[in-house]
Amino acid sequence: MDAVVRVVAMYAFLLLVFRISGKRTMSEATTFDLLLLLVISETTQQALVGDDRSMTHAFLLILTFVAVDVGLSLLKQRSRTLDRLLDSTPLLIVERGRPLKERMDRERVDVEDVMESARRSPGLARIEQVAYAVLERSGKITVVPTERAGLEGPEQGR
Amino acid sequence: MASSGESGQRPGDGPPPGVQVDQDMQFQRREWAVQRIGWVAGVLVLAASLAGALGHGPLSHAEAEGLDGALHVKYERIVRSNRPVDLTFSLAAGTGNETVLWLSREMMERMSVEAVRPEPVRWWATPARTGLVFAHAPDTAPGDRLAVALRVEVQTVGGLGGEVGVEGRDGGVRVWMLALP
Repeated sequence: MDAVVRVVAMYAFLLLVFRISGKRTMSEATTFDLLLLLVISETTQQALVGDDRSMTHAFLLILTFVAVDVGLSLLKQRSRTLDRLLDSTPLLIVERGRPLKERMDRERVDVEDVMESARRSPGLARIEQVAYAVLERSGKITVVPTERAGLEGPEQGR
Repeated sequence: MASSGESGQRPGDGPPPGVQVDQDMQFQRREWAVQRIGWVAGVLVLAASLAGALGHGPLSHAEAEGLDGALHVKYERIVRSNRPVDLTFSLAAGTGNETVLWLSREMMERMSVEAVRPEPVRWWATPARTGLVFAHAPDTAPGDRLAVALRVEVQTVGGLGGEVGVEGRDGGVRVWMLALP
């Protein structure tokens, strides 16, 4: 029972922390983000495992994590409100080449982040070539080029 | 934080024509407001933690003394479950060759004693108390202070209260700890 309670508490805490920290927190795969992710996973592992390093305990932890995750995804399918509460909504941050500054500031995104995604894919050189940029729920930036940019349809950034 | 009038829908809040994106600015503004509150709450928790509200800090340190001054105890008011914590005692030596420090059963039932310094010469237990018997050094005079340290681990989560005292002296000292998970 202790393992199940630990997993549920840890899942809820991580969900809360990453929702509060914003969409972009773990979306950037910089070297330091990777280190941060490793430190967080190591800390989480120690709190979950405690002194019990048995296979039974490990099975129970993994099973509970998967059950909570699948259970929540089923609930999110049925409830749009819950889906938004847990995963947020996408946000338009560039419209017809014009950065929407207030939204970008609130999400801690700057024009260089948008251009990094735009350069990577679909290979744009200037912000004017961006018809729309969307900060997705995952924290990634999706860029839709203008028709004049001579490129086809939207492509996924990082 | 959201400024006034941000809770409602504004011109330009909807997605532009031709772009299929499930944008909801009303929800987004609420989310930003909640995030800011969450940041403040996080900072407050960290500040409280530095002050010892989650253990190991000035707010957590506690001391208590018996009415007759025979026992003085220093302990942590806020501890972590299953993590070692020290209780340090200063006892007034009795008239014989030994002094007994006792802990009430309600304490012993919910924590384990991992180490005792100095080692007691023996332990005893009654239904109400567990006693640790310490031998005096040859030059110990009655009333001299003996220093004893117990390293314990609280096995449960929540409040833990109990009494500690010196055998043969009136009353005990009430100790209360909060064990965090």
